[in-house]
Amino acid sequence: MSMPFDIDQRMEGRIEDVGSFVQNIVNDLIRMVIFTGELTLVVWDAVRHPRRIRRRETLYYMDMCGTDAVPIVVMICILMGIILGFQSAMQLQKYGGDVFIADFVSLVIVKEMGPLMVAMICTGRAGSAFAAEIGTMKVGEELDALRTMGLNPVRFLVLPKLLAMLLVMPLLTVFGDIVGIFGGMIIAVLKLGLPVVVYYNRATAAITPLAFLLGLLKSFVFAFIITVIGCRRGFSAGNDAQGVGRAATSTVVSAIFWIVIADFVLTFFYSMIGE
Amino acid sequence: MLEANKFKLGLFVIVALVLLISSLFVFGLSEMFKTSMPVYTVFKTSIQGLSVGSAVKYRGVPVGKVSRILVRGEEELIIVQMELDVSVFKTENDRQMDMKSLNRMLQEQMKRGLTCGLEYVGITGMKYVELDYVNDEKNFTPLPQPDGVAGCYIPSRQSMFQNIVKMINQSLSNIASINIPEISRELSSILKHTNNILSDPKITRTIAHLEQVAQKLDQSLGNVNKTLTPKKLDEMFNLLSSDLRNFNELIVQVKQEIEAAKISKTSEAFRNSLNSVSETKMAIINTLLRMDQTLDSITELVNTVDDDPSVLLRGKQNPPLTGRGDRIKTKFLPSSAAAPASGGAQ
Repeated sequence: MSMPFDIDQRMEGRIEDVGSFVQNIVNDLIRMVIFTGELTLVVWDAVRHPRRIRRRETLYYMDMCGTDAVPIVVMICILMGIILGFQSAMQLQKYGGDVFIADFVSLVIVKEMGPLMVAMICTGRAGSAFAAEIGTMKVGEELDALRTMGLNPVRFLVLPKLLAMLLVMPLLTVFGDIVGIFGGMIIAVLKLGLPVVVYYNRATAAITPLAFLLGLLKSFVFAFIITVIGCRRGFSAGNDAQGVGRAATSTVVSAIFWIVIADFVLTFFYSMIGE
Repeated sequence: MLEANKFKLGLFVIVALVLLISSLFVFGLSEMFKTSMPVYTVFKTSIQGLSVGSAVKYRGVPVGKVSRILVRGEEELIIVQMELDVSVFKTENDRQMDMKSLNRMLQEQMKRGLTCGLEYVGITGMKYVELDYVNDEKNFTPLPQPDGVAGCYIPSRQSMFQNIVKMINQSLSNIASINIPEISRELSSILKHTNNILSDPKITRTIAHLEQVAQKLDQSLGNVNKTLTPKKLDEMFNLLSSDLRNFNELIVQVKQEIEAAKISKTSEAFRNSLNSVSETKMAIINTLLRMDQTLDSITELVNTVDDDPSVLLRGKQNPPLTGRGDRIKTKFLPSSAAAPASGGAQ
């Protein structure tokens, strides 16, 4: 007789779990929207008063997120180009379409994989670092100290990171695109015996300046997502060491999720304008 | 505390910006600074596979791109606008063509049959516009030039694939025009007649005989095969070859002997002998004639003496020459030889 009661209780618990999960997501979204609004105000204020921008910090984060990320971006993107080239070569060779490897690799790298891979790397390097940094400051009550001194933590901490990311991520994407196309060329030349000139001509014919710039525009959007999520997770981190770790992990997961969603939306819009 | 490595950062930004700008130029931004000439063509058939940005080629050489595709539903026309890269076209002196000279050149080439056609780019189903000349210019009727479109109009032609489809359709219509029921009726009657012929007992007998002949021929061939074993054939060939060798040797010997006989000299000597024999024969004949004449004269003398023995004392009384000796003279002697004979008798 007690069985139906247990099932009801268990079911009730599960439904409660789902409800709380959805509530957390909605609350998180609301907090994220509020934080974005706050950040927008800070950016607007920075545009009106550029002197208020902390240049030294901005340069530091540019160096940290941009210059230091070049080797890993180059390595990942060249491997991505090689993988894409290898896979496409195996399929295209069956139909005698060897020469189309250049079109395929260059278009996929410039439109999708270049910005996406750079965003993944920056999420792992910069996003988690932002969350950990702000989270640690929260644990050390430095954020409260800033507020006490009348400083806006968002303007003081987030704005330099956002500016740095918006500036360096497109530049990193340029590196990623070029080495990715080069990776495809390695396979085209070594595996398919395609002349370098033919690959170069096909790749440059396939890519339009607009497609290249739209790829860079994606990286702007991804830079904004990574910074907002990283900093937001840092502000909402628990007041202990585990909380900082959780914030960093959560940043990586959430940023990747929202980057993929943003990529889908942007690709959809790009397809509407024929790119 | 938060100090950036400014050299590293500066290098990163400069390199990235250089790459960005050069990439934009390489990927086609440089085309913004190129002079292009607007041209267009018109199709009445499907242009599936052609899109804005598709290549325009002049006999396989890329010379431009498709810039716009319009549809005029009322006229059932598809207008394809293109941009030709003027820098690709050169004059005879390898100088750069300008828009006017390119336009003039296109007008001249169109008189020679320059048209736009759609060709496939590999196996992808994508197409490009090919500028080329029509093969059969006499039977080519271009579509009329539509109004209100800017640029140089180049008429379109049917692609090779469309020509093939047209030919197939034509062949199918030709096949359809064949009176198949009539042909089948005739064929069945032919078959009936053939059956009748084949069922004739004479034909059956002939076939049976033929079979027998074939069997006999087979047997004969078997016998020949048995008789002419490879060993025997070898022997025969050996014999034949040795005979031929002997014959060859004989010919060589005969040749040598003929050469040794000096036939030419012998025949010349023989010819000389014959000539001398013939001369001797003539001399003998002359001698015989003269002896005959002499005998005649003696006979006449004897007769005369017999008739008149006084002749021996008085001499001859000039009798007319009507005797046998004259007859012999005219019969055997030539005129030149007769005179001295008669003279000698007197």
